[in-house]
Order: sequence, then structure tokens, then C-alpha cells
Amino acid sequence: MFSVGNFHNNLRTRVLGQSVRDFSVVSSTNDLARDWCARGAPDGALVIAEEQTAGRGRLNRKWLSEPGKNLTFSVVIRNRFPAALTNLAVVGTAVAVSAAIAEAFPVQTQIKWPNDVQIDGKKCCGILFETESSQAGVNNIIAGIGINVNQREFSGRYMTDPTSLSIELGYELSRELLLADILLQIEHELDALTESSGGVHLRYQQHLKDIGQPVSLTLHSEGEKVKGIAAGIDKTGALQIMTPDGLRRFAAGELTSQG
Amino acid sequence: MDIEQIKAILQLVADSGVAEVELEDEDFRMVVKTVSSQVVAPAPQPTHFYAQQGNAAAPQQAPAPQAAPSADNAPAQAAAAPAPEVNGVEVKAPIVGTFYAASSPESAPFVKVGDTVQKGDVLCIIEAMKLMNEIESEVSGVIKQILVDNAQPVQYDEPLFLVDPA
Repeated sequence: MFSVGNFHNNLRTRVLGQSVRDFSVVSSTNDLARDWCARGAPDGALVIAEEQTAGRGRLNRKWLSEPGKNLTFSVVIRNRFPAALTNLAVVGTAVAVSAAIAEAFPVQTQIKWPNDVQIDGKKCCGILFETESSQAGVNNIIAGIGINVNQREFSGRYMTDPTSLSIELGYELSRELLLADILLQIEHELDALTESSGGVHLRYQQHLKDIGQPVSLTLHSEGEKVKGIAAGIDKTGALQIMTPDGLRRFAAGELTSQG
Repeated sequence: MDIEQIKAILQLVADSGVAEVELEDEDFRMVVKTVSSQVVAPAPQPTHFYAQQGNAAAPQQAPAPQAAPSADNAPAQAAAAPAPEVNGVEVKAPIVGTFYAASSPESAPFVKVGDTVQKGDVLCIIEAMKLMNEIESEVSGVIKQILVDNAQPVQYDEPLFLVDPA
């Protein structure tokens, strides 16, 4: 079992993860975090579960994870950003996870735009942010994060080949220490964003896979595909692709490496 | 090519909004150019996001996102000229992204035309960067129009729904 005591002993954040609710089985940590948020959860509140029965990615794709082996959690981010900065909160979180893993372990992590964290082209982390907003601005963000830590075998069908840190490293990791590390990095990124948005897109680019490489982006509308060379992201987090028609920018789409 | 065919072609070109059409047959060549003031600069395609031709070094000099929806795409038209008989409050996109009428491809849409909604009810999701942004109604009332198609890109401040306030 995940030990909240052990986790708290190693946690060096100001707010992230200071309030925790841990569960053995939930539908989805995002759902519980959202409910808690509606009932007054503090900024940085953490919901963690050993097993999700309805873990999800975007478009309600399933997030599959072996119970008790990995990290599946959600963080409540309260009233921090104007709407324009929420994209960068996603970007910052991806950078934080990628950096936390790469700094703690001898593996090379990369981000597949917008926010999968991969090792050697295999996915070890998925991030899904959910928020409610009206024109008055963004209220609260629920940051759902799944990291494959100690799972050794993956069966079933995946959009991207999966891997885990344990598979890459050859040994079991402490999930408590890893989560404490990751939350500290996320907090740094979010704090940096609150103070000034400068820089996060540059840090992101250092982790971005496919930069300078041929890519194909499937837009959701009518399956239109855009092909070109990934050029980086702009200050809003949008992907820039050099196409035969010039440099174009995209806020959404399904990115595939070509070549 | 008879006069009726030429008329039909002219009408087709006018309706399509394209700036120039060239047709060539074995013994016939026809060039139609429209001079409407509508046709300025290459209009951004409605299927693209953000300003289209951003310059990496100076993205802020690209056309502002608000200016990006082209004059000839359907949602923008609906926005520019809401049917005069429908009074209502526009619910606009707070961010740039992809509009989803439902939470997943298999789910029923959050709302349909004619539905009664309360202030704070979720009307749709806009996705950008895997940020799934649930857009809430600003007002209580009845959905009069849905101005955007599912899975279409929307621009900042683009009207999404017309709600008749209760």
C-alpha cells in the first residue's frame, strides 16, 4: 500500500500534497478531486488511489494501470491563473514530471506534445487537466496524472506503447519518494507561472520529442492532417509546425512522428 | 458553352466566395475574378487554430486570435449576423481550442436546442493541450442556437451558444 506517512515525511512542498485523501479503489481520482474541490478542498489538495475503475484520458479513453503498482493521482489547483495561463499550467506540469524523473533516475525522458512523458518513445506518464470555466475566467483546475512506476507487464491495447520506470531501470521504486519529488517540481513550475509566464515554454522545448523532426498532426475536424517539421512551441504552449504553407500553430490535435 | 452555363458558373463562383476561378475546355477559356471587398488577403481556413502565419520570432505580430476566424466560415457568419428574430445571450469561448458537444464520442451532447439550462450548467467542452475545459452557461434559460459544430476549432471569444434568458 501507498504510505501517506512515508510520503509526507519526504514531501517538501509548500501546498501541493499537504492535504491528502488516499483510497484503495475509486472511479477516477479526477472525479473525487472535483467533488472535494466543490466542497472546499484547499489549493494543492491531493487525491491518490491504488486502483481506478474508470481512469480516463482525453475523449474518455481509458487509462489502464495495475492496482497497487503505479501512481494515479489528482491535484486541485485553485484560483491561480487567468484562463490564458491554463495551457501553460499543463505545459509546466509535463515539464515537471519529465524533469523529476530524469533528474532522479538514469533515464532520458521526453515529452510528446502536448503532455505525454515518454522514455524511448514509450509512454510512462499521461496527464489530463480538467477545468470548469465561464467567461469570468478559470475557476479551478483538476490535474489528473498517471505514472507507470512498478508495473512490469502490460497487456491489452494501447494507443502508444507503454513502459514503466521499473521496466526501464530494472528495479522497484519507492512511489512515495517519487510522488514527493514530482509534486515539488510541479509546485515550482506553477509558482514560476504565477509570478511570470516567462521561461516555461523554453524548458518545455528542451524536453520536447520530435523537435526538428517530420511530424503529422491529425486535426479533429474531418481527420484533416497537417504534415511538416515540428518547430517548437510558442509562448502559449501551441505547437508550431513548419509546413509547405509556412509556420502554423495548433492548440489541439493528435501528433504522430514520421520517419 | 452557352449563356446559361456561364450564368451558372458565375453564380457558383459568387456563392463560393473564392477570389478567382479559371476554367478551360478544348475551345474555351474563362477566368472569373471577384472584386468584392470581402476578398482580402488569403482568409485563414476555418479548420486551423490560432492565427495562421505566426512568425516564430514575433508571434505577437501575427493576427490577433480574435481576428482569425475568417469572414466566410459558418460559425463566424452566425456570430456576425445572429438571426434577428432570436434574442438571446451569447455564450462565448473563453479559450482557443476544439469544441466538443459531448464528453466523449459515444456520449449524448451536454445540451440540445430547446433544452432548458441553469446558470452554471455545463454546455460543452473546449480542449486545448489536453486541458478539457468545461464551459458553463452564464445564464439560465433555453438554448436557442448552437453556433458551432462538434469537434470544430473555435477562437477566443467566438460565440458558441445563444441562450434565451429565462
